[in-house]
Amino acid sequence: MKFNDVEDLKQKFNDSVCAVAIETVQGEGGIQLVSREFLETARALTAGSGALLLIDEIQSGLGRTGEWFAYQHYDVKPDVVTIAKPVAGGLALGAVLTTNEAASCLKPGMHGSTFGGGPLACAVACTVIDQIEKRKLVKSNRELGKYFVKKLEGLKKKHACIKEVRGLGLMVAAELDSADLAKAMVPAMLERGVVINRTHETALRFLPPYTIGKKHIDEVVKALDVTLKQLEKAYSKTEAQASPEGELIAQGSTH
Amino acid sequence: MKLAEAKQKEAQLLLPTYDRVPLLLERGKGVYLYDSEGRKYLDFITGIGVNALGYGDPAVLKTIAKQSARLIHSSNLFYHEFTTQLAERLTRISGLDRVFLSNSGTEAWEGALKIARAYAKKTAAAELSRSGASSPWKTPSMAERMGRSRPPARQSIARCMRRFFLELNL
Repeated sequence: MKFNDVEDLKQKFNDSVCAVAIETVQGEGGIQLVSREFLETARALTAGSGALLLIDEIQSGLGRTGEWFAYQHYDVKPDVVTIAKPVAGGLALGAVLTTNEAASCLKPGMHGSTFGGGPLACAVACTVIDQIEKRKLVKSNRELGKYFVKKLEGLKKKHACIKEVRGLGLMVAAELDSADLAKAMVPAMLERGVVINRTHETALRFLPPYTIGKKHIDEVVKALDVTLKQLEKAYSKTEAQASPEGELIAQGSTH
Repeated sequence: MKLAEAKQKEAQLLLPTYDRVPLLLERGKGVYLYDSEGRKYLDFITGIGVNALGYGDPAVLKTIAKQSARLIHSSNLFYHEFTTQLAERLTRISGLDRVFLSNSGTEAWEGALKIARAYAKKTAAAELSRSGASSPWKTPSMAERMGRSRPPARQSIARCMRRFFLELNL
């Protein structure tokens, strides 16, 4: 199904669908935000048929986007949410969050894990959430994200090779017009002492720690400016573009 | 260990699944990473969105030290105090009601897909018994299919789901 194509969703949805799964902000897909209309349509369709709305917040959850969960930017309540990455401060921990209604189908023995939810990972996860709250990092992520996007928009005016800047909180990407240029940017930025990565062929992805300040954003934007200036001429602007289409099914590649 | 040695040994010993950035990381502090050459990097990828509080956060380190000394692993055969402490926090910030704890996002999705399947099966069964005749699931649904034939144990949930989505042209 085409990401954010409401008509496609309406056409393909029917009573035999047991669930619709959506990544609110596609991480590996190059930081693509689900549209309000698409998410609301998915909610309405699933609610109407008794199917479940499953939301992937593995990369976007736990405050990164400037809300605790990216779906909270929309007026939509999911039935099931998956989280993982930042939950336990670097220890392995993931979780499925559900409504009472969705959970009513489970009985003991239907699902389990030997390591999942161990005392060390859970204790650390409590500390991580408490620290995010105590230091008001969700709100600061929202503000830092706006500042970062504004700075990148400024850079876009200077560099024609930047096609688009996307972001929600500290989940940010700069889409370049060449996959080869994007690929070359990663080691070139390392040379300047900045770690970033490339996703979806043409997107430079930024997932900084919540603890950065504006000076770190300035430093990265400056390094991007210098590096782009150095490299952009060597890459033509007529590279084959990566497909903007995402997939609605869950992708486990970096989970 | 130096980068060249790590590269050479990994090429020999690990499955060739990763195309790594040529850095051998040794430590992190705050928002910076340090490699084996002592070079410092501003980290704008955080291990793919994991190290939200940066490196060496004092509160995190304190909890790791304290809890490691007390109990690292217990399995889900037993209770420990932190499952509910964490679940209370997660339900409060998400507005949802319940939590299943796994080790990774992939496993979280395994749980989510299992719930989708089990929930459809439950509601389809309830609907069938209410209406007597017609099911709300007008084409063979995952619920009905799974109800009809249990997949072989070695067939993964993901594979079942993929086949299901494929059949629905999703």
